[in-house]
Amino acid sequence: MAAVQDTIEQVRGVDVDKYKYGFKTEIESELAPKGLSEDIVRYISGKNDEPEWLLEWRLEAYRRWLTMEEPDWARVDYPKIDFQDLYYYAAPKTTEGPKSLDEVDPILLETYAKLGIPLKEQEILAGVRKHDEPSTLDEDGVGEMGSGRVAIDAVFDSVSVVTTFKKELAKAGVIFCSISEAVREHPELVKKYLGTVVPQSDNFYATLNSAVYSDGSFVYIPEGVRCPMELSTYFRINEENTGQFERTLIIAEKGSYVSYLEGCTAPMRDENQLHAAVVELVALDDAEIKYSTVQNWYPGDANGKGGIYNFVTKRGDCRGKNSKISWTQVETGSAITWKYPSCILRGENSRGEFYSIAISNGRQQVDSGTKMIHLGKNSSSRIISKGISAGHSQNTYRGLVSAHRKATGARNFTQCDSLLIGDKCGAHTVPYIEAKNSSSTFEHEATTSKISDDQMFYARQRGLGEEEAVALIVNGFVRDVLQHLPMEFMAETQKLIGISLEGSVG
Amino acid sequence: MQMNSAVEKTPAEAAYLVAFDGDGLPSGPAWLDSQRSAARAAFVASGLPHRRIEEWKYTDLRNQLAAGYPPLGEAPLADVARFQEMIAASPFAGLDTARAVFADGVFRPELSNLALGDDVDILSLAECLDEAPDWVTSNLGQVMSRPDNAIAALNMAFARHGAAVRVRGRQEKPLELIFLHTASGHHTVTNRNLIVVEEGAHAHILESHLGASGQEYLANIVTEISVGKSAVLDHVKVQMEADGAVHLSDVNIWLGENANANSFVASTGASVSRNQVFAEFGGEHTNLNLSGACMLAGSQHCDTTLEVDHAVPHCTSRELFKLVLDDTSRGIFQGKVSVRPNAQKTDGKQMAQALLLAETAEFDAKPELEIFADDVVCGHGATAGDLDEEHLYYLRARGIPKREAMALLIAAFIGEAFDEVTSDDVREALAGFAGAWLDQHTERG
Repeated sequence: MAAVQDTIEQVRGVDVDKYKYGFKTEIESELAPKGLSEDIVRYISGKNDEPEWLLEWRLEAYRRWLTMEEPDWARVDYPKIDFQDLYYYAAPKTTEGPKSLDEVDPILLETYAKLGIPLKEQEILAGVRKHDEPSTLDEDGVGEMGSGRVAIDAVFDSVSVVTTFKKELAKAGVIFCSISEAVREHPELVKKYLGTVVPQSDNFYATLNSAVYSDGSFVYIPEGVRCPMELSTYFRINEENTGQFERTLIIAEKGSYVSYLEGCTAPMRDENQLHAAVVELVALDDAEIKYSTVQNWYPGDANGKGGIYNFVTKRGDCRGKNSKISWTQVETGSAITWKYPSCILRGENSRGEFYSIAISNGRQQVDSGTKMIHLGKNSSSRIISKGISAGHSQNTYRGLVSAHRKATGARNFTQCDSLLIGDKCGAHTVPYIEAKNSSSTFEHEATTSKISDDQMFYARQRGLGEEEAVALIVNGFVRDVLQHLPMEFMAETQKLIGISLEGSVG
Repeated sequence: MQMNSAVEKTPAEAAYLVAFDGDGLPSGPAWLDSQRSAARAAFVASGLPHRRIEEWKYTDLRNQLAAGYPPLGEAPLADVARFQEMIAASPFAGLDTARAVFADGVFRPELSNLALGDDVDILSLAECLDEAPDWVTSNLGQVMSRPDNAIAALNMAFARHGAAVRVRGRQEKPLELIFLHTASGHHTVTNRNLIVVEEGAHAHILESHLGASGQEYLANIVTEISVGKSAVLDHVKVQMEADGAVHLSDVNIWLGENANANSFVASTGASVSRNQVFAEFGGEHTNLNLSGACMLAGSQHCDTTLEVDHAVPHCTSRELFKLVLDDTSRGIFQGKVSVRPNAQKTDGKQMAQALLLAETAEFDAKPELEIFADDVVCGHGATAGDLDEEHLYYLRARGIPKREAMALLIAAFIGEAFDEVTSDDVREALAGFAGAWLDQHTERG
């Protein structure tokens, strides 16, 4: 098995030192004092100019958080986090209310230029820069998906620095802004939905987020509107010793549709940085939300030094009849990933989907999966999870599918496949299946294997080189998930998989 | 996870703790003393398992054992005719077997027939403990891969009776271990079995657990099985405890090089039951086949928990479990397959399937893979659902009444698990046993 051996060696050789987003932007930041206290919570709330009710909500969460214990059930191992040794707020100083990218610090712009995802479409950035001129992109592409136009909200450390295409979105009635702005401009919507999917003190990290979240994105799609373009948020942790705690809230009114993309990167640092985000999705009758993530936080170096601790709570609520929420994730980064995008299938005939590619290399530890909670009649869900572990990494799928007594006719199909590259890594599967009524049909399947000699032989026999053969097989392995990514992310993802597993994918 | 000591003791826990200080506690033999005191200490520290402990998430013994079950003292004299009547109800009654009968936990030579030739040694554990042969002292308590779990700890603390079996050649006919329960009142009956299959031998062990209706006892049974190099084990257990009984069982299997083990368990009895099987591969090129069928009605609760530890390379494991759940019964399947870092070329497959006959039945499954080696082929599957309408329609369109059609489909579903049993006679006996359960149920329903 020379080819696989070769691949294994190359993967080992490549490892995580080649993280290409590891640059640091020397930009002046405004930091809150280190540590966490009620004063810090007040400080963050004050910075965002928040109303009294939100401050109270944060303080309540903070007080609850003090009584909570860090969960230890996941298969991840890390030194205890000192929550007092972090900055909970960092803002690039120059971004006090930029109206356009012109007003943004040029160093920041350079940063964006260096970043592949998702601000890679330079013409989009250019479009923003020329926002006063009639844009060539402004043809009536409304309703046309995959046109290559993406509205972007960029979150730099703690604050949202820029949101693009706002005007055009407003024409369609879509609200897309930072959540701090939404609190000011649309308090009634925020108040109505915030914390209704992921309650204020849902779990340890979500509670921490409720207390100290600094910014994030807010999306509101009015009734019957099909969002005219893909929406995207880009997160970056830049400042040292900071935690990033963003909060995203997406509301799809009756009959609406939105596709939302999220990308993340961070500089290379020796210390571990904390990222504890909360994402809440609400889909009302006949609405559909498609949420795609490419997570590429800094994974730490080959010896496991540094890297982002990614503790994220993502949950979607299919509140209405025939509503649909689809999570697609490509997880390649982070030293530790603790993430379970879930769907509460409350509405009749509602549908939840989870497509995941989780790649771990070096010393990365991934514990990720999903929960599909069937409450509504005839609700259905589908889970496709592909884990690839290499190097010394540990990759765990952990998921729950449950049907409550009243969720008659619920259906689930789950498939979890793991591919192991090298004999120092681990792949684990921990599914929970709870069927509480007889008319639900659940099917669960999981496999673990390496690239088999037979597969290699077959491909080689047809004249493919060793590397090509491995690439073909790995691509085939993740294909089921790849095809669910929006066009905008496809190229990016293939590149990312290449970087993460260079050598396997040619 | 340690139970917080400030938590109030439940009546069941309190009863055991009282028994630890009482006279009824077996003392010695000396070679078991340290294991016994370690087991008591483990229980004192952890108490009964509850749902906050991951392995017991779905079976909360702290909550489910509402009363105290003090260990049964010296067994009261009982009517031999009554025991014989119960033995006749064993699904294996019609087979030509050797028998070791334990009535209310105590070995009854007058009911037993131990003639199995020179290649098989059968001892009553209670009688041999004090002057135990080497093969007992070197194995008892040693085959346990998880000695600290609550069932095993309580067993080690209280066990005195049970069978110690050594098989050195090919068994002529199966040995049936029969456990009868007739005593009334809440009490615990503790039994412990040791089965040693020596190199190249072939053991065939049947176990039946039978309870007199109406009794509310707790049966705690630990079986340690060591399967030597190139040895073969066929093990079939039938659990038909009384409706109100609790059955807690812990089977530990250690497999030597080239060994072949096949263990099957069928459960229809007890209000609460838990079958734990811990299997460890000690030598390469070994095959393990675990299977089972579980047929529940009323508010029965049956938990099957497996841990298969692929510690060495080139081993194969198969698990197939089928559950038929009626009324408000609850079936649980937790199966964990671990592959250690050096255990290359492991082949592990697992399947758990539940058929829910009533809207209110519940099936919880947690099939788990833990893999640290790359050159492996492992997989698991789990399904849950009710009878396929189309299958029913097909049969009914051919003139088969609904009730019969259902029985056919259920029998076919459960039959797949019986197919794993190697002995034809035993398989037929099991089919008859399942048929009787089905008749009883489809008539009622």
